[in-house]
Amino acid sequence: MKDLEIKKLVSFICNNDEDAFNKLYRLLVKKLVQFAFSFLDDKAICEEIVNDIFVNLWLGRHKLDRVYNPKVYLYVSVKNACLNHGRGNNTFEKRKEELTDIHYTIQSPDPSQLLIGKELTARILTAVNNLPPRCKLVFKMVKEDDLSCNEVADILGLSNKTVFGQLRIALEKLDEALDSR
Amino acid sequence: MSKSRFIDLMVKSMGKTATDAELAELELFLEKFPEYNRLPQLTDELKSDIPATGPVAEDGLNKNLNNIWTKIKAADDSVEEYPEPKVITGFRWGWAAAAAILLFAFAGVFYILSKKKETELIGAVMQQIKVPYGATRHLVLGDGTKVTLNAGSTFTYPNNFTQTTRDVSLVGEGFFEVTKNPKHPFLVHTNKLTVRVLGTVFNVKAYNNDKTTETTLLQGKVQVQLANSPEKTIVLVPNEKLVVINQPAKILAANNPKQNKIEYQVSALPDVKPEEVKETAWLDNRILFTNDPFEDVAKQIERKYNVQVVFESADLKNEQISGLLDKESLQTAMQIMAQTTPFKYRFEGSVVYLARK
Repeated sequence: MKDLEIKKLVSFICNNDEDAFNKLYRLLVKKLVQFAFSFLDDKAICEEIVNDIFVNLWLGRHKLDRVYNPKVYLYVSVKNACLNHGRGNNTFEKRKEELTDIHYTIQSPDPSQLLIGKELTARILTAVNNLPPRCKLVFKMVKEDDLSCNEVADILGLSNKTVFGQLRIALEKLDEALDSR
Repeated sequence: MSKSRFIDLMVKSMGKTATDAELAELELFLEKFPEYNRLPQLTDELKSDIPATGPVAEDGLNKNLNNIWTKIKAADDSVEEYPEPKVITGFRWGWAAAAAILLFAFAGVFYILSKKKETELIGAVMQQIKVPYGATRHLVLGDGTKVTLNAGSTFTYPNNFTQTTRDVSLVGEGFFEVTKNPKHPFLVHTNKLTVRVLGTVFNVKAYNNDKTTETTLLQGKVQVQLANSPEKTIVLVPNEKLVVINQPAKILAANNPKQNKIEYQVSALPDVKPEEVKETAWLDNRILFTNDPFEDVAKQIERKYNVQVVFESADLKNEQISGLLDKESLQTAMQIMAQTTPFKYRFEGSVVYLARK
């Protein structure tokens, strides 16, 4: 549904629709900044990078009809921009491996709904927060960015199987933590 | 169902790669074992820490959008005139223009060097000379090279040789006595081949309406590059002749598939006195032919006497004839030839009609 909406907005942007551009920005900026934040731990720079990508998106809008999956395109743009950022200090390859840690919290208004105690909550959070960064990133992208395994694979330049495997590891760890009650 | 299968299904469902059947299976599973519901519930409740400031807040978002539009307007204005605005600044247009000019320059040079149809080379004024039928021309080029052009030839050369190579192009037949200059190779371009020399005496015959293009070397050494296969060069030694077939190979292949690959042939000149070399006989305004097809001889006659030869009997074209035409008039020449080869001829203006007897 959301994918369809994005594609529709992008096709409007192609035809110089400024409102569609504003809508697309509101829809995606949060997620993209978060995604950028997985590579760079400076919020201000992440915002700047994402905003620049939107500027370029509008300037290159006449070529957008050639983009097959606009969402993946935007995520890849963000990733590349992040990896290019400060390339002077670090080689591209090295930075590729350097993912910033994502910290998880349980944000349910009432944790008792989950029928778990404080102690278990802490254990679950430790388990998920101790996952390797890449595994956590995959988990986050699938869960929060509404991306499919295939899209995540395209964005991160991994194989479908790797993404699937990483996601499986994350779920197994969660399940283990739940079971160890 | 095992727990491992359950996790598989969960992964597929989350990663949007599950089929309808798999989703149904997962639902059934959750119905049957309600305690497993905790995992999907937990993943739903689990959230990554998000930066709470900046674009997340509504006013921050609007501010950001305004900034973006300001940037866009600034960038857009500089590319407004162009039909397809791209992320290109004036600076990059400069590079693009430079690249385009370079590209055209290279393409131009390449075209000139490969197609040999140039009218001018960069930095040199090109001269073109057209020799009418029934005449020959003598030329001395800027570097002292002597060129004799046969009837019906077109020769293009620069006033002065300023390039690292001395490039000339020829359609027709020419006899070259090239002044030696190892630093500046002399290149004769024709449609079919390019002859590269340092300083030699050689003859090039490259008429567009002939079946073959020929290069005959009398002194020194030449290197010939075929237009069809530029990677290959053929080196000739004195008194050798290179014959390249002008027609595409497939026409010949229809008659004789085995000859398909033979595009050129190098042969030694028969051991004769210099004045009897038929390749250069035209220099003394003579036509010398030994067992040559009548058709080829007719082309030489056309050039020498400025006439048109029409074969009314097609099989006469392949008749092999021998002889020497020197200072005879066309009438006398025909008379002599008709004595050895049975054919009739008649003149109509500048057209000669030939037919079997």
